[in-house]
Amino acid sequence: MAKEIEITCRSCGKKVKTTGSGDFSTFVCDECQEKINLPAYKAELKEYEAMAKAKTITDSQIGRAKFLKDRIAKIEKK
Amino acid sequence: MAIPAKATGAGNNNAQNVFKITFSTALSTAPKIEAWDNSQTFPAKDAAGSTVAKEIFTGTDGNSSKPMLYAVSTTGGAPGANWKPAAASAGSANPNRLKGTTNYVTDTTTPGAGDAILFNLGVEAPYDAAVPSSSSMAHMIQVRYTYTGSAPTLTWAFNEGTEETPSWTTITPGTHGIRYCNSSTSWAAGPYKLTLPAASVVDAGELGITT
Repeated sequence: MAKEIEITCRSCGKKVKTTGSGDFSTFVCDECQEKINLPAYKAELKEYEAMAKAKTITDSQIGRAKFLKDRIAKIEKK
Repeated sequence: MAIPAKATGAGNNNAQNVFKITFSTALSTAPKIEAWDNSQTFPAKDAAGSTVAKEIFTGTDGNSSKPMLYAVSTTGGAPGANWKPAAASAGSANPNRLKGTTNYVTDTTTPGAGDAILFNLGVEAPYDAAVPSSSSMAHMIQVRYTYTGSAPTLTWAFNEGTEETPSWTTITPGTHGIRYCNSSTSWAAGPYKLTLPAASVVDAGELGITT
């Protein structure tokens, strides 16, 4: 079994465990990257809301819109 | 867009000679293979990645929210059969799922002047991917490298020959791109598509490069 090591997020300094290998100097944790992603999530959700209004949205896009709403709420809650 | 050409061995196959990046001058650390959102319209690309918000990185309920892209460094040898990692490892791993600088692959070598790295790449798409949605899968592959002295010129290439006798064709970033396709795609006639399954996930059996 691969050995678990601790790596550090270069953005917030949080320690994260991994079984990976290589160069971790550029590692950014999920939480920090999610904050960077937030405007992109909101922009994509807006596209689906426009599609819903125009009644051109598909079932899978409705699923993605729900996923985005949940993701945005989770990030903004933190 | 011209007819794509098949990249020999690309995907979750035991192939070493698939994609190659040659560096004209020496690097100071091992390069990293990353993937990021591309906000431009294909084949144009962003200058550098910053977000990984698209569905290809967030995943779906159907794949337990995993990044769909995966890569392996093959500079040191073939990756073995069925090398696709089941999940993403935090930071660097070889192989690994790809998501910005959260999940990436570090090559196993630090290239000198004129040296090359090799890697293989694949995608696993879940049944509930939000298609048709033109931008949900739009991404770019990025190599991150450091150097001292002169900046290297990078030459990207893919193998159109065989695993044993590769024939490398140059890829021009921003002009050419990757098509993730079904197994047994007719590369002369098309169609160039990946069909989603009714349930679970599907791996692109073949990859091609637009020419």
